[in-house]
Amino acid sequence: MRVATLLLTLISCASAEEKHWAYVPPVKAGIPVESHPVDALLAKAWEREKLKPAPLAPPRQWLERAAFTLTGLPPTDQQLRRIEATPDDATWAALIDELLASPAYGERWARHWMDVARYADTRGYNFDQDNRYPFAYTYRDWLIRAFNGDMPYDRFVKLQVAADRLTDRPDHPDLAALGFLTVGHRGGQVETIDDRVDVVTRGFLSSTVACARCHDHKTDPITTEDYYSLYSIFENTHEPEEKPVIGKPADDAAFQAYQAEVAKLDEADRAVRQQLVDHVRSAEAFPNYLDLAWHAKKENWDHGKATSEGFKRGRLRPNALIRWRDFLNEHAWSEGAPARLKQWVAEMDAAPDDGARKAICDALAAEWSAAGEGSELAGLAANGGCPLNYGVDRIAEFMDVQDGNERRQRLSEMSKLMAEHPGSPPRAMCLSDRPEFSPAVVFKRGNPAVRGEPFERHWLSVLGGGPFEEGKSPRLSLAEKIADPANPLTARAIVNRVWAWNFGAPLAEPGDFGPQTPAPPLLSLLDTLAVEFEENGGSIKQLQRRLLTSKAFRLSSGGSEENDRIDEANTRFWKWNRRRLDFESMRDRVLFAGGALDTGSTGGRSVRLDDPGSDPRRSVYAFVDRYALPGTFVSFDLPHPDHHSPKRVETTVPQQALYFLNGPMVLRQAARLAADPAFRSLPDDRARVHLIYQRLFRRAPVEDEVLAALDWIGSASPADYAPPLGGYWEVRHAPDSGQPTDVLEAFPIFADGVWKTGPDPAKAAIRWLNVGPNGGHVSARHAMILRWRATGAGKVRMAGNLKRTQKGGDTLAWRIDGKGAALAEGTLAAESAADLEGPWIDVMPGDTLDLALLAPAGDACGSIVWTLKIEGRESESQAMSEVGDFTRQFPTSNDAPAASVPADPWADLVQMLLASNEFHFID
Amino acid sequence: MSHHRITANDIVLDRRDFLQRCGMGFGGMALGGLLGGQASGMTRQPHFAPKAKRVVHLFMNGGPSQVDTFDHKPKLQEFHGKTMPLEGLKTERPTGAALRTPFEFKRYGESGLEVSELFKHTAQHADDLCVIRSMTADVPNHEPSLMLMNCGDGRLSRPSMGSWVSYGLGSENENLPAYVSLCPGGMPIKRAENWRSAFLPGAFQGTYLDSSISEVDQMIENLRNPVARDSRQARQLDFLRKINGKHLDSHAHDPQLEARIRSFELAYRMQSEATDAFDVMKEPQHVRDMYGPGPFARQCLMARRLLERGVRFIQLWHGNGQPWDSHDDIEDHRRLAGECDQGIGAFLADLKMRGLLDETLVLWGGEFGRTPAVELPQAGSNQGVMKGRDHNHYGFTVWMAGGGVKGGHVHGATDEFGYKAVENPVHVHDLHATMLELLGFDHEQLTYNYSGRDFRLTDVHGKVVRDIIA
Repeated sequence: MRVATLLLTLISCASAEEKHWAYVPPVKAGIPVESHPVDALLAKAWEREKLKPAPLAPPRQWLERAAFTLTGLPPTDQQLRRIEATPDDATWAALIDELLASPAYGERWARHWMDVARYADTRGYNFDQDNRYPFAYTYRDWLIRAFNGDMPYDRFVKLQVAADRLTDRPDHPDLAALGFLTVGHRGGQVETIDDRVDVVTRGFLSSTVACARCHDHKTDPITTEDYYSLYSIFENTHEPEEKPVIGKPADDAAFQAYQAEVAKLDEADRAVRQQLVDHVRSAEAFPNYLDLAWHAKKENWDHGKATSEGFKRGRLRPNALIRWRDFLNEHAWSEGAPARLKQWVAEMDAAPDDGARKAICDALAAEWSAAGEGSELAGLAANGGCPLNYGVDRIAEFMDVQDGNERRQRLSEMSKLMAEHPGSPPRAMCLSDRPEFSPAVVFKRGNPAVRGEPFERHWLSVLGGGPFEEGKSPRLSLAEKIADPANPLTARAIVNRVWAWNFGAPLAEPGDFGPQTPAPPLLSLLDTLAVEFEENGGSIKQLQRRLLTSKAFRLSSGGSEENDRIDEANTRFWKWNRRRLDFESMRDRVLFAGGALDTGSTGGRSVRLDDPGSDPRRSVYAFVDRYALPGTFVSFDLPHPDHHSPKRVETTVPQQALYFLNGPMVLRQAARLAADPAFRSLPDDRARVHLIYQRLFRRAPVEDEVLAALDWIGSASPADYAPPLGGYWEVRHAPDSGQPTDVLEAFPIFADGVWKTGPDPAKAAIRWLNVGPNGGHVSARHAMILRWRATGAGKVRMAGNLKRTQKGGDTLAWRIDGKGAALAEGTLAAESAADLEGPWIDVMPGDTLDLALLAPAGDACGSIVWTLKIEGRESESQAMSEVGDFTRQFPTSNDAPAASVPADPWADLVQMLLASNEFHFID
Repeated sequence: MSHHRITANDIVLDRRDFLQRCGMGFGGMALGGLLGGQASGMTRQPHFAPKAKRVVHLFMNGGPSQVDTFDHKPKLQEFHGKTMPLEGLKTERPTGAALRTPFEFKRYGESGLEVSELFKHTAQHADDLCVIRSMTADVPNHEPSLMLMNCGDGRLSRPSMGSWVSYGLGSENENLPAYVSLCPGGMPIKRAENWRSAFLPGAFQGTYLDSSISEVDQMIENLRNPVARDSRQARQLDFLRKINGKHLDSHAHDPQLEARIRSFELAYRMQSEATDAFDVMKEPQHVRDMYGPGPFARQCLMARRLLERGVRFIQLWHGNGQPWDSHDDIEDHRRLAGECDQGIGAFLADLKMRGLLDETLVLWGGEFGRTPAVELPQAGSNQGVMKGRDHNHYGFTVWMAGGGVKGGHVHGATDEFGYKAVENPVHVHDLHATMLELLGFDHEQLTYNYSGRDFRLTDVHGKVVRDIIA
């Protein structure tokens, strides 16, 4: 069998080698030693295709490209000055080194790899439980460190597949690398394993092995046995429920507090389990279990029947009942059963009715509960299979649906604590091999229910096949096979990715190196770089240096029009591919321009990007919820993290533009720059335009640009920037003089959602007076004033409804005052209601509209409920709309709300420059 | 092979792909076309003449009971309280004897279609309904069944039907999303997975809107500027146009730059167009009265406004969670039907009146049906009450209307108790294949190449149910 397999493997391998480029080991192209391989090989291709390379771009563009490519951030002014002053090879190389050494480099490149690794901070749908991966971030941080430390690629590969086999301590930080396997979508066990096969083979080998799940690969020399060999490796892994701690939180006090919280939750869980233990042994439940176990045996109950019958007896747990039945089946109905149990069976069988059986079971239960040490019954109770032997450690096995739901709720609280508590230490999302490996089997047509014969687990046959090494973790062997320098795919796959992430387009289709993908036109370049990559010990930074020092990286993005007829899509890289910033660079650049971004701290928990508090964090730290992917991520082409993503698609949709027209983050950053003291304190507008261009584009504006900006600012219409019509409410009171007055008093107390003048309105100096959001109580010969103060200009009126809520009482009164004059008034008799509708008046910011509620004849039964609104419009051309609502805007403080920052044409100008094409495309 | 095969090159706005595909410079192409692949304009050619151009899916999430709505089973009355002579059909939870329907059935229309009192408004259109009484799915659980109904696979992360349809047909209105999912008060279970685009480009994902929110600008992300007035924003756009124009002049009129410029113009218009489309208060009072009160009626009316504006695929969910999941008491169906029946009836009447029904395929149904057997009590559910029904994937009912299906037609049948499809069973894959057929697509050829293979909505399954096509 094995010989046959091996032979077959060799044959298929040999034929594949002749056919398909990707299965042939790469070799270096012959080029002069002193020449740059990228430029030399591209020059050959250009010559062959009769392409004329574009001229070199200005040096400042080289640096912008390099900075965004390597760090995802703009270059510094100082760096720009250096390259512009001395655009020679030495300066250029030094700047590349500087960028590669920046901590921002790892943040940028980790994010690329996170696409490959289908990174997310949640597992997907998880019914009513917390679906977060609280420690996915430790994998992301490991990636950042790996890229920043230029980890040799073979180690980078091996740790992500088998770090548990390559580290020597249970708290080793490299264990976090296993997140590569574990941060995927969980769609049931089979899908989770399939996902891991897929991410490993497409991620490291650009091979679509997962296509061979249901049948041999249609186009690639990959068999179902290949697939299920890998499947069985991941099937035989175990993820610990409690993830290993791999570091300590910086804040020790927080760590202590965290541990105290954990202890509390542990204790709560233990207490519930103890209750269940007590229930099983209780005088109420125990005899019922015996009785129903007898029925279950006699009537051959299934789990469903046990559930419904048990439920009728005060929620007996079906699993405990079935356990009783099985235990008694073994120990009471058997040949050598103890006498007491034999007797019980005989009595039960003979009993005439339910009542008799109950008495029989009561007696046995009482006896059993009281059985002394050494007795026969006590001996039975000590048997591991006896439900009486189940303690808090095992009792969870007896939990029913409801217990399980409640338990999951508690576990969710624990995971919430781990995820959110500042003192929760970082942990690795690791896994390990099962002690015993189950054999590899094929699921026929992918159906787990139809299993084929066991077969020997082996390495991908197209790459040489053969069984994995005896006595070694097959997963570690797999990792070594992938990282093996003799593997023709691995180096090519990563070099191709790195090329694409530098040049904006790959050399070969990154999603599929199978026979469907013909040899790429620049295969010799890919191969040369792949061999060199291996020779350099798998150093990605070394590879980057190679790519960035090429002339190809520094070509202009405009080129000869004659070329367009030959290769308009630029597959031969005869010019620079102009590129739009991806989502992460775009957001980071906006925050950088606005001044909010903090580039000083690397790593940490994921943050929600829609929270303004996250503005200082780079986008790589975004909380990625694969179950509820934020609309912004979708609009800006973040790949869906349910799958490995070989490359990002790029779309241009109006939602992206809406983000720049109206999105809160963009508005915030534009306003932030315009409010910056360094900006405001500048002597003149011309200087302001200069500062904006410098901040956003790292260049001075040309004269035309200055004039356009000044002209636009100068022609801004003040009406456009006046505060919008709106206002806020004040709750006041005053003695009722029968006239509008501006001498008002604030309420001294706000408690329980109500404004009042004493702790108990019934005893307060101004008796009964109180005001809540929906209603209140008047006080005799006193005015309750609900005042709306405009913060913008327009035409407004007050409208609403008043209603008495008590039986009987004095006749009350109301009055609407506007800008200090009475506008409308009326009475409110006992048990009546009134519609309010004041006249329209023009208001300016600061003007007021009051509703005065009065009790001129006394305040008996003076409770009133109300709705109170302000309607209005700013100008004749607009429709009337609601601009204020007392209940909705009910004030809970006597202080005026902080005035909103006045609208500023400069912020609008900055916003449009942030939205401009120059900001979003790298030439 | 010469059949029309849509590939990533057709739709992805990647400059290389685009240029490779067109083999030409930008000049000849309309800007709208460039964007169009994604969200606008560029309507693709179906495989053959379509009978339906748009789809509205009325999703009764949770699983409505067939024997209480559109599949009348007198035998159930007879066996009430007795064990039905059926092979053990395992569902999610333990079930017991037959449970009769508490609802009256009547015949409606010339076709004499039997419908229960729950859907008396819908039943006014009996002669337009094509009722499939022999639907089957794979498992009696909500999550995989929702995924199967929406995405054609119970377990794997696959694109939703709406994504496939908008990928296949594009949008007729560049100012609105092609695919809209409305659900009042939150999301159904499995949330956005129900309208995901999976490996199709994100532009084909359904746009979810909470239809219980009355302010449109809060329904669509970033639709309204919280502070700037229209006149102020118009001036901003002027400025942006100017600086982008200068930039473009110095960059040889690169199409990707032009596309982005254009997207701002679209976005600016979308602000008012979308606001208008979703604003049902723009409808006259008598129309609003016809649809009736409540969020479902409201979203039916929104759906009509969206259809008129060329939105391709609209899903109306009954509510958040799984409202139709009447495990405990089937009487709850009365409330649920009361929340949607009038709206659905008015919606059908309105579409007919406006001549929209012919080209609009309306689908009504849940992810599965319910058991004719009563659900037995157990801890954590249904305690002490024995009036509800469990999930049932062995046989259930959906109906379609308009869009090229036979009206007043019944296809397939369940057994005499309404438990299992026994005559002309229609699997969800078959339903999908048929719907794509009505939309003009051979379901085996509407494919997308991803990760080394061609994927399609029906995977390796699906037979077109010719019998229901008019």
